[in-house]
Amino acid sequence: MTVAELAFQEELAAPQEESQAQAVWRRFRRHRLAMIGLTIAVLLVFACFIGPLLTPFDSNTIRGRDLLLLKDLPPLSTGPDGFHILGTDSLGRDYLTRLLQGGRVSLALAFVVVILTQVVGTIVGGISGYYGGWVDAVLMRIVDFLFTLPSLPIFMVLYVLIPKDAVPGGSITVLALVFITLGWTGSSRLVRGMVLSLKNQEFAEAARAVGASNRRIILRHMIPNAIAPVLVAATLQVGGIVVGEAALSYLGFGVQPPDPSWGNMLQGAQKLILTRPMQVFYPGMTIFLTSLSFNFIGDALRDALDPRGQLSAGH
Amino acid sequence: MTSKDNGTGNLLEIRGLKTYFFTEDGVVKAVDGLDLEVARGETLGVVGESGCGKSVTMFSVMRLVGHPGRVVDGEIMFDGQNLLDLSEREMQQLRGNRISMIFQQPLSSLNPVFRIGDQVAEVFEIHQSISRDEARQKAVEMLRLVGIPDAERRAQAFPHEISGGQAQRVMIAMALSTQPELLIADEPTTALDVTIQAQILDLMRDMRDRSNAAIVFITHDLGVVAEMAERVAVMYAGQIVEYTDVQSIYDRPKHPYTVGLLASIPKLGEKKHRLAVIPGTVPALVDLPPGCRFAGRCIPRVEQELAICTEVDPDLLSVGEDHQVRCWLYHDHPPTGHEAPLATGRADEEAALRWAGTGD
Repeated sequence: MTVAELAFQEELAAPQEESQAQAVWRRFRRHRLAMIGLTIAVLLVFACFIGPLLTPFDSNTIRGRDLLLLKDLPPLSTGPDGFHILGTDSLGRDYLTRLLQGGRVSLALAFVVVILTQVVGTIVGGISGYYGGWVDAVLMRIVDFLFTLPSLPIFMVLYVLIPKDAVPGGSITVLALVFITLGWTGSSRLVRGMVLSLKNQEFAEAARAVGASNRRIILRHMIPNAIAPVLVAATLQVGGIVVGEAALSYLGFGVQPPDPSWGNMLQGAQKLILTRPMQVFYPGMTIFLTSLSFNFIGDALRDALDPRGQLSAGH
Repeated sequence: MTSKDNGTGNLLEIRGLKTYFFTEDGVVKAVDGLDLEVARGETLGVVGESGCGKSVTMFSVMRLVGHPGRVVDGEIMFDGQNLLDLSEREMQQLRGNRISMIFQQPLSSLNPVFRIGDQVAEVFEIHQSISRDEARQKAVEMLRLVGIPDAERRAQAFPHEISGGQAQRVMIAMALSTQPELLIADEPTTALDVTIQAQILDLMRDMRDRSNAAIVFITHDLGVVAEMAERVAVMYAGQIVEYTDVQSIYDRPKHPYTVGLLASIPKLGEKKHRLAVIPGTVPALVDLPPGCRFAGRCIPRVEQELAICTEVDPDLLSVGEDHQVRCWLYHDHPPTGHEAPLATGRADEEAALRWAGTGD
C-alpha cells in the first residue's frame, strides 16, 4: 500500500460509531445523583401505575363498612398493621392504595401537561423565530402577556370558570387544561431564541438552496437542533407540575375527592396531624421525591446534551 | 459578446442586475448594474476579492438574498424565464433541482443532527416523489459517485464524524443529485487545504464532464480559475470590470485591477523584498465616490493624470474579440465635455502593465 492509501484507511477506521443518543446517555450515566434520581423516578412511575392493580384494596372502599354500619360507628383511621401497610385514612380507606392511585393521577397529569405544553411551545417558538416580522411580534406579545399573569390566582379562576361536567375526566382534565394554558410559553421563548440563531447558519442556507420549503426547514432542520433546552425544561417542568397540582388540590382547586391525588391527600391528612403524623409525611414524601429526582435528571440532561455549555441561544 | 452557445441560447442571462442592501448606515449597492451570460455546459469563473459582490450576485440568482437586501432592478433569465417573476414556491422547485449551489464551509452546510446519507436523500425526497427507502438508496449511489469509499456505511455518519473534504463531496453529491443544468459553486475549496482542493476540483471536473452542467465558479483564487474556468468575469465593488475567456485574462489582461491581481501572485523562484500589492482598499459601498470605483487605487490613472476617471463611471465596453473592459484607458469615445484619454491601441498595454513594476 502507498502511504496515501494507508492514511486513507486510518481515516476511515478512526471515527467512533456512536450515535448522538448514545453519546448523551454515556455522559448522563456519569452523574450519580441523576442516576439515583432516574431510578427513583422509574420506581415511582412503576409503583403508581402498576401498584394499585396489585393491592387487594380499592382506593375508595371503606374498611369494614358493613360492620361499622351495624354498630352505628363512623369509619376510623387506623395505623399501619399487617393488613394495611400504611394504615387507613380518616374514612377508612387503605392509605397505600390511595397513595399509589394518587400517584397515577399526579404523574399522569404531569406527563400529559408537560408533553402538550412543550410541543405547543416548540411549534410556536419555531414559527415565531423563523418567520419573524409581525408573526413573531404578535406571538411574543401574547407570550409576554401570559408571563405577566400570576399563575396561582389565574389557575384558581380558570378552574372555577370551566365546568367540570362539560369535560370528560372531570376535575383532572380541567386541571390539565389550566396548566397547559399558561405552561406553553416557556419553551416557546427557548425555541424562538435558538431558531433565531440557527436560521442564519450555513446549513439552513444550504437547505434553502436545495429547495426545502419553510415548513420542512422549521420541522426538520430548526427544531431538532433547538430541542435540547426544551428537553431539559420538560424534565424540570414535571417536578413543577406535580408540586403545582399538589398546591392546587390542597387548596381545593384541583382533583376533587373521592379521587385521590397527592395534593388532596395532604389536605385530608391535615386534621390527623396530631394523631397520625405519618399520613402527612407519605404524600409529602412522594411529592418531594418526584420533584427532586426529576430535577436531578434535568440537571444531568443539560450537561449531557451540551457538554460545552452552549445550550442557551446566542452562543 | 460571443460566448460558447451549445444550441438554444444562453442558459443564464443576467441583465442590469442591481441588488442593494438597505441598512441603517445607508444603501449598500452590493451589485450595481451587472450583465452576465452563461451558456449551457459552460464554466464561468467569477473572480474578485471579499466584498466585491460575487456571492451576492449568485444569491440574487437563487433569490436567497436576505433582509435588508433586495434585488432592486434587472432581470435574470434562466432558460428563457425571468426568475425574478417567479413565486417563492416556483423558486423552491427550481432550487436544488435545476439550479444547485454549494457553499464555502462544507461542514457548516450540513445539519449537525442528521446522518449524511439522510441529508443527501432529502434532496431526492423534496424533488422526486419516491419512497424514503428509494431516496436512501439513491443517496448511497450518489455518495459512491463522488468518491466516498464504503458509501453504504459512511452514509450513516454524522457531519462531525467526517472531514472537510468528505463534507464537500457530500455537498457536491447533494447538488448534483437531480442533475441540475446550472451549478453555482461559491468558493467551494477556499476552506480546504491544497491537496484536498485538488481532489475536489478533479471531482468537479469529472462531474461536469458527465453531466454537462453549466458551472459558475466563484473564487478569489486565480489558480483555481485557471484550472476550471472557460470564461472569466472579474468583479470589483459590485461591477464586472473585465469579462473574457480564461486564456485572455492571463495573456492579455487589460483592466488595471486584473493586472494588479495577477502581479500580486507570488511566483515560485522569484526573489523579492516585498510582495506586489494593489495600494489602497476597496471603497465602502455605502458612499461611493463619483467616477470609476477603482480610480483611487489605479496607478495608470495617476501616471497619466486622467481626470475623467474620477468624474464619470466607465461602461463595460468591448476591446476586441470576446473581451470587455470597464476602463477609460480603452474608450476612445468619452462623453462630451471630457478630455479623451488615450485612444485604444496607444499605450494602453504599457499603461496597465506598468503595474508589474511594483514591489522590488
